[in-house]
Amino acid sequence: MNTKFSSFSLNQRLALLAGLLGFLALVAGSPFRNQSVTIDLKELARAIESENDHISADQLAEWIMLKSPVRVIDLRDSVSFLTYHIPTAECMTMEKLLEENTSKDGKLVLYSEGGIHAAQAWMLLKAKGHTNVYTLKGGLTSWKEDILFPAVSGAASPEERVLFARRKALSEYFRIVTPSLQVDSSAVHRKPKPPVKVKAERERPWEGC
Amino acid sequence: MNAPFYKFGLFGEDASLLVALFIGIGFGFFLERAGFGSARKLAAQFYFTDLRVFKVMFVAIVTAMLGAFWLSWLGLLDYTQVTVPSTYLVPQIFGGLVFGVGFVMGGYCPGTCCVAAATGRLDGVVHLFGMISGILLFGELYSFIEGFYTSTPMGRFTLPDLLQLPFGLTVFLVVLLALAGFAAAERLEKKFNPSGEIPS
Repeated sequence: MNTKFSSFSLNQRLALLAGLLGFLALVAGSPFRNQSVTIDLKELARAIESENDHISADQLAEWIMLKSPVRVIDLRDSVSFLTYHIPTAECMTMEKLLEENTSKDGKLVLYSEGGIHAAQAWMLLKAKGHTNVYTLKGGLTSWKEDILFPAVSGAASPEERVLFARRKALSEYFRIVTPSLQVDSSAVHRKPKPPVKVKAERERPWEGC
Repeated sequence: MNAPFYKFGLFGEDASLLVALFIGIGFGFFLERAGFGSARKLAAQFYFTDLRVFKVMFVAIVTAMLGAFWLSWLGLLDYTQVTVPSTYLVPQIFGGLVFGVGFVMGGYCPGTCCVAAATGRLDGVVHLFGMISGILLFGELYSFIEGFYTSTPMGRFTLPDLLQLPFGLTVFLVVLLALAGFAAAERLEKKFNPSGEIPS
């Protein structure tokens, strides 16, 4: 056996080695078994400091309106979701969000009522390696105040008036998309990105949102 | 100490450029040593007379794959932190076709044309010029083609995701494919180039 091995050429030996390592990989099990999640602390700190971790309601409204490829995740409970949600949003628990094995580069916007819940989920997704994830600044509260029911005071500056005009337009658009601001479950189907199992979600609403 | 080193802060951004420079020089060196500075040798693979490009590339893939798998398995590499370019299916198929046509027409791919230019081959210099012009053109036109460029996004998408197979099994199948490919390449070379002459 030994003499036979030594008669192999270098190429054949390397091929044997590759074959052996490949075969062992088959039985070695998951390469991730020794790993815990690693967080790039510096990157996280930079993202938070430079305020790259969140986006404004105006920005999100524009993305949705322009049909930019973004997944919007609603982290509130299913009852709140059914009462009202941002158009195209998907209802998801934090646990389910973490289990999802989808693109880590796809744009994700998380929101909850105020924002704390979303910020926690943001941290978890970052730890999981998602690169393009944001929270909605001020949560749904700010969405309602800024986009759905924008208001301007009498003493507003010209800039504030311009902003108000823009928000007014956005507000009209989103009122048409969600007539009378009622449930629009079909909005889930209009979401631009494919990997969401909307059907499964609708079949099992009791799993919570 | 865990890899990837840059992600874990072993060196900063400036030092990473230096590391990239050395890796780039190493890459160029091995391309040149493999004979990839010659368009004739590169083009020979399309005539099945010399399949060294196929062999070298597949050896690199298998080596990197086995390395990544076993280093992860040993806990020395955090695979989830390794940068994997995102997949945009349709634009990348289109880009692959453009790349292929350019390769067949010019006889070089981006890396090898730099090697050829560095070793003083005029066709390599012309190819390099074409490549840089293409990059500039792409940059200028980017706002017009951005929609297409970012269409069909699939994120970090790897073979185990596509095949829905365990990691280890995918590694084993790719190794088998490579070994079968090497054996087939040798046969093809013997058939189409029985004298074993290597174009220079």
